[in-house]
Amino acid sequence: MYLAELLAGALAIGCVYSLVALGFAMIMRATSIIHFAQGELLMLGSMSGLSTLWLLPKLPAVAVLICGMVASGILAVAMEFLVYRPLRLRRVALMNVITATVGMSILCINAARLLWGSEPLRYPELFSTSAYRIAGVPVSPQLVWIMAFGVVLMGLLQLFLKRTRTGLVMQAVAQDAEVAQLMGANLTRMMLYTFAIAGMMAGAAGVMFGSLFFSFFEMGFLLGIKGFVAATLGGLGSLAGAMLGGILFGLIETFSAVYVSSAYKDAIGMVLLIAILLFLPSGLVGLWKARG
Amino acid sequence: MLSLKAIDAGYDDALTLRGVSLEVERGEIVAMIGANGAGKSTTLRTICGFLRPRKGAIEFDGRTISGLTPDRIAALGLVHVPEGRRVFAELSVEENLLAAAYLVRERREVKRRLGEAMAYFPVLERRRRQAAGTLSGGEQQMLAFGRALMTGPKLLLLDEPSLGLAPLMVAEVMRSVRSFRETGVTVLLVEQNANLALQLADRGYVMETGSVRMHGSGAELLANAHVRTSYLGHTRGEGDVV
Ligand SMILES: Nc1ncnc2c1ncn2[C@@H]1O[C@H](COP(=O)(O)OP(=O)(O)OP(=O)(O)O)[C@@H](O)[C@H]1O
Ligand SMILES: [Mg+2]
Repeated sequence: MYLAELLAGALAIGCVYSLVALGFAMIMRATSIIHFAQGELLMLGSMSGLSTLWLLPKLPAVAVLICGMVASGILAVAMEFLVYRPLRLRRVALMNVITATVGMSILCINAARLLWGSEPLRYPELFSTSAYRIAGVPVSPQLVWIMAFGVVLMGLLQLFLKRTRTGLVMQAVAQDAEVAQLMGANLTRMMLYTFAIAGMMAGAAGVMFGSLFFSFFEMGFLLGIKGFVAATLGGLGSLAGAMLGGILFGLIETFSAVYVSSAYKDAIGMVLLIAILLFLPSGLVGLWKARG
Repeated sequence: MLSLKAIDAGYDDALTLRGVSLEVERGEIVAMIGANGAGKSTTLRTICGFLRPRKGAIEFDGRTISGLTPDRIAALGLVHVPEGRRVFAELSVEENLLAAAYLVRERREVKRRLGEAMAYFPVLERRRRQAAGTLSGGEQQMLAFGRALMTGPKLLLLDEPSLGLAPLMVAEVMRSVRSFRETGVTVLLVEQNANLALQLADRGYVMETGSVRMHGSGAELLANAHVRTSYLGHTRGEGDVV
């Protein structure tokens, strides 16, 4: 029973990491940028969701999730349009654009402290507090819903990328932007879509994490790094890898906290990152490709 | 249909093209031949909008296109099939084709073109679900053609479509080029294989060090002494496969 709750918790937090990792992977594929403000998009989504709840306390969880997604999506688009794109057009070196993303992240952290203060903020209960029984095992509804949101969002993203022509063109742009342009793709617009989606994924992750734990102006730093570890674990730039990496990282982190020590929970992730970079540089996807 | 008027263009500081002028009339196949580094690809990249001419003007279908972005130029029906095929390796054959029809609004029209492209190149139908990166070189070239057809082109710029293909496949590529014209698509064909290209083309241009050295009908160029010694000498005989 304890194990079931632990597993559900690991999968729920894994979904949060997966969503952040997906954003990293999408932006990485399309622009080669490591978007270090991804964690702050999560934080701002979390804060926006919470603020909407303050205004409209009766709002259902799905609506809160959507509010967080929209807010982060808009912010991500603004970052791309106002900062990264002008930098690219000026042919600024990639390293410097990546540095600019760190700058955006610090800017967001400071703005959030001004707007929401420096205390951790609790989300009101979004879900029923009486446990669901799944196959006789009680599981917290919160965890079930967060997993459901995560799975539905990732499923929708896959459908969009696979089944719509816009989605296909976004993938085409990520593979060969020049040729995609020759087929009529407007790169500016495709980049905006990419950032919008990456932002929305992060915003959803923010609401999900906030409802599990709390919102905090500095929450994005560690969560962003963990999302990045998850993306690296999956194989940077692979969307399937990012999703898998997130879930796996959630499992590793949760179970190592229980069976090793919770004091080292965050450190374990970082050790993992360095280990992946050393021994599995192309991630799980690389492993798969090497075998296939 | 397409006209370049005294185009200067190049990369960064270097001026690669100097005073290039050329004309392509509707319904023609025009060949452009020249040695490695003569500026053939650069000419095509300038026409399709990747490079901005420093001087001169490019007109297509009666309007000036120099200065437009590549996607706007593609939307006008001027479609460049670049050197090296460059299929979207991780997408399936069908997805490659669908992505290329991005600008087509109606679903039914997309379906129709998909059917058409697959009828044109049956191998694409057979490989429909296969990742494009796993196709053979010749199949990738067919996909690159199919993808270009999906956009509904009026004028195709083909950059060395036969490069690296076996003789049988080269013949297939040349057959496709000819049949493009039969369906009303005009073709500007860049080829290393001068013999093949000039046999196929109505007219041809010879590029040397960034300028047009001479132009004329395919037959004229094939008979020209300079062309024969510089471009046909070592390729003689290969034209037989057509
Ligand atoms: N991206 C680039 N940056 C700088 N110089 C380039 C670039 N691409 C081509 N060049 C230069 O421009 C000149 C013309 O090259 P181009 O590719 O147009 O030749 P080409 O006629 O297509 O040759 P090939 O038959 O080998 O394809 C060459 O000197 C080449 O080095
Ligand atoms: Mg070339």
